[in-house]
Amino acid sequence: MAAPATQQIKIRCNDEKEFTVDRDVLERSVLIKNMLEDVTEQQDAPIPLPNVSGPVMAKVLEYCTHHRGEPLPSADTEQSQDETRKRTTDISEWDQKFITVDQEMLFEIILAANYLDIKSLLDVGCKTVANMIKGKTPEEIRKLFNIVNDFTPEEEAQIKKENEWAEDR
Amino acid sequence: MYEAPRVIGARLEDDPETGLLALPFEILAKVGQELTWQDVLRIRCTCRLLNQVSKDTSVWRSIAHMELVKDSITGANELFLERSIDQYNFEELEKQILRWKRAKQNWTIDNGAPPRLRTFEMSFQQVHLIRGGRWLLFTRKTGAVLYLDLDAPGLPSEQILIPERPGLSYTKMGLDYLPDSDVLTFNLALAVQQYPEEEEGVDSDIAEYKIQIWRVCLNRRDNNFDCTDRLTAECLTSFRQEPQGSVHSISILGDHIAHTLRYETDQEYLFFLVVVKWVDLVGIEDGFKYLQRIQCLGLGWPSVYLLPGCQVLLYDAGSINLHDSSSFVELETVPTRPDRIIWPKPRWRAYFEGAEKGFPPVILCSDAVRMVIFCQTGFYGITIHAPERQAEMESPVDTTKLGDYAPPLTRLLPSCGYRYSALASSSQLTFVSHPWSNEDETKHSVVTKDIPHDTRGGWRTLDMMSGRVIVVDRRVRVIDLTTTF
Repeated sequence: MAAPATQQIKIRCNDEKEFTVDRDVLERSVLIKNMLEDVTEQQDAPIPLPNVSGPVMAKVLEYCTHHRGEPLPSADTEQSQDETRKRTTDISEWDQKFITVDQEMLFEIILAANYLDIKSLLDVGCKTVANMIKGKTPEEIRKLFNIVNDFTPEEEAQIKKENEWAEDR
Repeated sequence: MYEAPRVIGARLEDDPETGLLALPFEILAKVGQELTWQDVLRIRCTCRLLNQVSKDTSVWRSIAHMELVKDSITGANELFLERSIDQYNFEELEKQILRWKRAKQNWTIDNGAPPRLRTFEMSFQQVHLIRGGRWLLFTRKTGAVLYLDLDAPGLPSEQILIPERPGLSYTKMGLDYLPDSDVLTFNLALAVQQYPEEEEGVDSDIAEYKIQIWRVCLNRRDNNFDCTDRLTAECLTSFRQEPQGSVHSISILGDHIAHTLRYETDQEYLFFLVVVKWVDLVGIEDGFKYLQRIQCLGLGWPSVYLLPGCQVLLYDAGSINLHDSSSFVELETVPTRPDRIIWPKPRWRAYFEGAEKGFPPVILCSDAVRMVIFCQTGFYGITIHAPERQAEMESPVDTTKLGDYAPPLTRLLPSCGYRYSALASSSQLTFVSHPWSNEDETKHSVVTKDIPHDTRGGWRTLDMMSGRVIVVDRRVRVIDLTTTF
């Protein structure tokens, strides 16, 4: 942790795209933070990130740069994380603008945040998907996400019947 | 720099490799944790994968966390779980939450769905439906305390909480829930009458009147999700009534109990109201000299309810009196001559013409105690402010008319929850939803459902969350507004 804030780290994405980033920005990713802590000597070779593409990494870095310096969520118990989440159900204005991307990019950001272990970004992504689902009928949800209805007609009728009361308000 | 198209939710080409469903299950579950219960039921209908997500325990735990947000007025959770959320699996949580949501709906909408009705033949003295609606607690004249698990499949069988003892009889009870416990826990105050075991030359007709305090809690087998839950009880203390008098109503709250006492002299009956700090008597076996705050009562058989700050509420057929027990005389035993005792001067009193005889339930809220009374001119919400707030109020109690609906018959013995009541006539149950005036919804609703029963007397009790109403006369009828489960 004693590393100077100006230390620059190189990373390489799966499409050979390379970025040189301030260490504290990269350390928003718990995965990279742990990697850097394991490395004792100064390394010039870029850190390979085989699960992230350049365009997605550019977005992720935009997020990490904006949020640099904010305290990282501590690795608490499941329950207290639950409570933290409850207190922060809203997405901030900046995050909302940031996450206004097409579905493909949205899911890629979520996957990258999951892989890189950036909890706050993963939260923003999941909340965004949830907000897209909220208030929609099953048919609208299928349409929005291109979901193929793979129930048999009998199964579907059964599930609908069980749940129709919930729409009756 | 990559420029993302600024269209949220733009559709993808058909590509199963990159769509929503390609996300790992734990991420889909994380999305599910952000949804409301209704949204979760909707994604259940979309496809098999999201159907699985809608049945993930983490999703329902998250919903439970959201729904357990305390009511801003009552300071109490409307949803009541008898154990902490992490001790539930998805099926149990879903069942609890949906049953509650559905009961709320059925209370206000007449959807023609007949409620489920079960009738039990059992002998009992007093019946109490435990919060959450699962457990029906009842006392028996033999001194035993028993319970039924009303959620168990089939006809529930009687379980013994406190076994009968020779010579023990006449059991009245009061309950106090301990809200910060991991599992359902409550203190149970019992007023019992103990006949001494027969000895030669001893008159065994003279009974000893005692108060017992028990701690009751839910006992589960290790994380076992079948129907092996039990209630267990442990006696905290037992103390004698001196002189001997029968207790007709008992209430427990925190460290204190309050009860009425009828004492018979040569010429007359004397009625007292007694408040005792029972925690001071823990560890003392059958003590009979202890400090009690005592007040003489007029005639009658009022029901007593202990409120925060040692206020005592007395109710008798529409007449309500609020007392502050700190002004009572403090003595070690109840005097056999009442002349040392001042007669009560209530802090507040009111009378509701044609109101029920039995005590309407009171709802403990963070800022006040509330209750609902039905009488000839409509129904009223009564707010008894917390003692620390009474100084800033004009009156310790506020009365608000909640609606004009007057029961067609007097002495209907309605059972009232904070927002919901059930009133019974000879062939129908009437469900009244009555939001308080300071809430968003300003209208009350009245829904009548035909219930085949023949009760005229008796009394009833309800649990709003489970949508369960108990009607008691000679038999016990369990009416479930939510018939899905």
